[in-house]
Amino acid sequence: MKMISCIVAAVLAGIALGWMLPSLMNPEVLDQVITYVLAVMLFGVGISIGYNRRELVKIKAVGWRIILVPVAIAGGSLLGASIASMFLDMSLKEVLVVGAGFGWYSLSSVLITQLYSAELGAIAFLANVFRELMAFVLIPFLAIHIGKIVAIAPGGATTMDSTLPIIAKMTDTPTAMIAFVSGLILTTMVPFLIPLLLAIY
Amino acid sequence: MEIVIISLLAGCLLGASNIITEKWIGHLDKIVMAIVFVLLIAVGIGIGSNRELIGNLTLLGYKAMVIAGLSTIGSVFALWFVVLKVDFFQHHKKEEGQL
Repeated sequence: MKMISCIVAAVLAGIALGWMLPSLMNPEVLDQVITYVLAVMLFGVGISIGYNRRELVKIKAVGWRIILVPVAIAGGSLLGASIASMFLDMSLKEVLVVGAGFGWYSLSSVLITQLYSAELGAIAFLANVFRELMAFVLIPFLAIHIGKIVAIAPGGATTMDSTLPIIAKMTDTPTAMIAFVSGLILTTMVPFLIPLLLAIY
Repeated sequence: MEIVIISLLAGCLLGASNIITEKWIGHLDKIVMAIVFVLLIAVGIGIGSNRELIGNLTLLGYKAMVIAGLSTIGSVFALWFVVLKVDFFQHHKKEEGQL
């Protein structure tokens, strides 16, 4: 929760800065610089992902069917998000891209702002923060009333870090292990899925 | 867009190689986090400098809420469906039996 407050504070500080000095964002040069900074960050994210292949050995311990957990979470998230395009004045591509953040608000908002628009980036930030907050409420409820494995779903990509402690507390060790691997796989998918979805259409 | 994907893939390759040690990863996570903060401030500047966006923040929040709610519910039902079809712990119990 400390992390989320720091992140919200950073965005709010940016909003205040942009509000006071609206010309800051205008130069195209700045936009270019941010794209390169983003590339550097993704290079770092890539190193973490590549390094994490060692963690994926854990899949063996639980069995390969564990892959079905992140696949179901990703598929269900995108399917659910696609329904939103029927209610909202947004294209299917836009709602899918926001849904594809799987709760990873920092990366998804930065990627979408840079590759698409500030408006969709703002929606992605809020939607994925909401998803993480909902996860904190839903995980205990689902673990008690529906089932331990199902309780992994709302956390999305965050089940490898921020929501893992609550999953571990509400379920058991094997479920927490599945949650970690599922979060790892979803986290790996986000930086690929968002640019891909934006490029496809 | 290309540079973003290329640097991500290049990072993956480097991370998967044996050049990177655990000590490096610890430093790397801190550096990435620092860059994330810089970029989040940039996201904020993008929102703040756009008066139209600021005026629409309630609408954006509503849209975000709908998408977040539906995608979370979608993932819960999809995983619930899978859990009803597949027994995840059967394999695990077998393994425990073998131990």
